[in-house]
Amino acid sequence: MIWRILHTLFVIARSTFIENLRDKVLYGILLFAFMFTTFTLFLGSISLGENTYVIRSLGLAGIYLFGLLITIFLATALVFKEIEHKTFYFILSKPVSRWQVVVGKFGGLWASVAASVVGMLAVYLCVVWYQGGGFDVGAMYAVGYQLLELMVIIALSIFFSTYARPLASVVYVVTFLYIGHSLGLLLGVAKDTPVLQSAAMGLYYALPNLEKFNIREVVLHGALPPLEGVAVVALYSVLYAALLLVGASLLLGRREL
Amino acid sequence: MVAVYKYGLYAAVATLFILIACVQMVSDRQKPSVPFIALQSLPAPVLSGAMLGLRSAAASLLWLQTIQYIGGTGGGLAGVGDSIERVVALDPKFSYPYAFAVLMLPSEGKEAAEQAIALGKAGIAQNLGDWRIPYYLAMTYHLTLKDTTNAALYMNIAANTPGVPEGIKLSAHNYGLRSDLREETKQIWVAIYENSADEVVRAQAQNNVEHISIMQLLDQAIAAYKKVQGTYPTNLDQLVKAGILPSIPTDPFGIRYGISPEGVLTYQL
Repeated sequence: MIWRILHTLFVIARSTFIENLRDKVLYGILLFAFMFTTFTLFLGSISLGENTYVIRSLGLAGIYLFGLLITIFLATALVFKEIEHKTFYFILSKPVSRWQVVVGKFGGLWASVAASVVGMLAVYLCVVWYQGGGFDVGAMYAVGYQLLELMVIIALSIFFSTYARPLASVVYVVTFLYIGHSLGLLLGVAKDTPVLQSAAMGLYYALPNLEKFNIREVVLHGALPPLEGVAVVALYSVLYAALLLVGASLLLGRREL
Repeated sequence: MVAVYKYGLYAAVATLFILIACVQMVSDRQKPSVPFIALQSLPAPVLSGAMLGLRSAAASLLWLQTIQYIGGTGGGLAGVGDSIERVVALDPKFSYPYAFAVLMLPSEGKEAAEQAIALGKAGIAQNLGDWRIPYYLAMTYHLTLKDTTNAALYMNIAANTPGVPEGIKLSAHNYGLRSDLREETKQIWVAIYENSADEVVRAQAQNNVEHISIMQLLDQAIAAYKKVQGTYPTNLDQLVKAGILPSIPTDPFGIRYGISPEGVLTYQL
């Protein structure tokens, strides 16, 4: 039984992965990402001797932003496209439940985004090495954390994709991105007003706290996160993604096709 | 016919590129002669949120903007202290802006010197292990504030920072042991010139070394004149007329020198 479910999930994930790799827009974004990473060499050269810092900070930012762009572009249309193109009927005519489609697509998309991000990381590592920064171990950690964050964002995008049009999903996801990176700021602003503080605290714990995945400043200055910290963040990511995928499955289950 | 159409399109593309380049040239000519890049920015926490938490990238961009601003204003430093404060607020462990501020800002006046010292102390408090911050801080105390006690204190911190170059270590250790203050100051600038990879800092150091060398040369020439003529010269031309100097050297900062009745070198900008 479990093997059959896992096999179904793997088949859906693999087909999603292959479908994404055939998308020409993905390569367009990747090309821009590679160009940007190489361009940081120039920005480093005009930084008054702080080449490595500028290249590493902007390079990691580039990997993050282009990774986000790829994720949002691919994920927000993922389920909606299947419904719109009626291909969902074909999938559901097989012995496959809706939650399996959601989870399988999530896995395939995460794998294709991870492959793109790892490609960008390889270019970044070459650029840093060329600039004399050696092998940037910290960047591997930062990108690992980024992949955990993208797990949450993909799940969030799929959640919205089950009932909203792609453009609306993009707007929702970007809004959540900004909120997710500003929850600490929100707590700080609300700390002097008790009522606001309670509301801010509620939002802080309910909404995805994406700053948990941001260790770029830490690794940039030579420190590495402790292993138990990595485990907690990974658990947070898996739990939040699971919550959103369950929500997406419920929404899709209630939808009349 | 098809070939004509195809080559016609190529020609159109080439023509459009040329036209775009021409418009670009015209547009560049219409720009003000001094490109001014405003250093105004959002507060650090807001900027950090707007950049999706990419604080160090925001710090890098703001740092590059600051450098462009300095270059665009021909070395003007007005407002640079505030901009550097924003850079280090975004990434408090980005060490070079602290050092840069401490070295460059004091020439802008007392208020800027105070801001530079505050930035330098904040940089040292971050425990960044960058010898440049205490060393430049010592220089500011020594040169601008004439506070040799604090200068000696920060020289000591610089000398004991791991990874400090030997020349700097020696210069820092020797601080306060010599009676000739001008020579000591020159040594500090020479050490900075030899150990900085930053072109702006190196140029500043080179100008200071040259400036002090000229003052030393003029001091020696005045002393030689007194020895030969029995009195002090009243102006620098007399040194040339007496054959002590072949010509009056030009100061890199555009300073004009004079001589007081007591034979002391005086100068004004």
